[in-house]
Amino acid sequence: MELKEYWDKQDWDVSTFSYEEDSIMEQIQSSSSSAMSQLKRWVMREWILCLTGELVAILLIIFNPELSYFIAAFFIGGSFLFNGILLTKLLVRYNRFDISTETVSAIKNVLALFKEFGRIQKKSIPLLVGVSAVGGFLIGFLRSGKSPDALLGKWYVLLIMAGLIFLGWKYGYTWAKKLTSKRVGKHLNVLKENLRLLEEDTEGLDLNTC
Amino acid sequence: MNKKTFISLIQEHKRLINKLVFTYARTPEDQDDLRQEILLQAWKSFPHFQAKSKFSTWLFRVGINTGLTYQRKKKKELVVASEERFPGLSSEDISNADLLKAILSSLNPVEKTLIIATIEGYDQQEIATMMGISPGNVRVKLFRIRKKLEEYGVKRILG
Repeated sequence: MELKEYWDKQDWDVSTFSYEEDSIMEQIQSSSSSAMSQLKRWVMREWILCLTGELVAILLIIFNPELSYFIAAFFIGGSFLFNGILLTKLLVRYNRFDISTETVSAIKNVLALFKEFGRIQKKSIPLLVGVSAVGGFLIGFLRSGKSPDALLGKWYVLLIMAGLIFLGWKYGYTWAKKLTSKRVGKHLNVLKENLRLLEEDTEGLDLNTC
Repeated sequence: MNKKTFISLIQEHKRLINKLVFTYARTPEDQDDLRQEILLQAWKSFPHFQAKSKFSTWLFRVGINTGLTYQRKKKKELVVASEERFPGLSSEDISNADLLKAILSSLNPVEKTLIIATIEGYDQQEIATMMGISPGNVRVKLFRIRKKLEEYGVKRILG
């Protein structure tokens, strides 16, 4: 018996799928369920969220003269701006990958990208918190036209800023990591598991040319 | 490279997609899922297709990658499936499709890929390039697969 005989005997034209133009269109307009695609969708959603957050913060800065709002807006805006820049970088690099091929090297690339993203966040969040808060204070100061004494006299403003700097410095990265892990951790774990199984299946061979 | 071109190429190669779907998925529901995933991945990767190779070769590569990924997701179910045995392959009451399914379920995903690539007429060099392994490795693996298939009464893969 020859395997090709069985293979050729099979009627390959028969299918439950019609391959009509409309049916193909419907299929290609749906969302992929692969972990790589889901991660990419997460990055895009986050990026849009950051842009929206940034826009709201800018509108607050322009239209609300209250100092406390300035600080809050600049603080939030700064965070969104920074994350937005990071995510743009992540998205640009992610787009360079051909995510249709979940190969050893493609998965390793994506995992390395997210690791790098985490490393940058770890280094920069405390700095970001400080710069945003001080920046918010200075802009508020310049816009208010009040004397430095009057401004500094607002003890609660200084207290809020000091509190934010302290919290950001101490817990910023932990919070960001928790938030990110919660949302992408599941997909990253799927990718890690896929990588393990792929390496096991191919006995260490890299299918990166597929 | 527009949607119309893509759709007509897919319609032209529907047999190949049906073969890939049959190889990597067992139930009709799984086959529908996998077909959708292959079409989707092919559409997303279509801008990367530079027509350096034939569309069928490119689609085959996308298909085997999607199939391998799909099988990893379904690994648990496949372990159960691989335990099914059809000892009387020559029996009249087993359909051709069932025989093929039984043979394929005895192989791991990489072995299946090697088998269908061989049957589809790709030479060992092409298979080696597609899978990122050496032609020698392809030969060794095919030799092992032949041995494995002997227990199903399959003496040869090709004529």
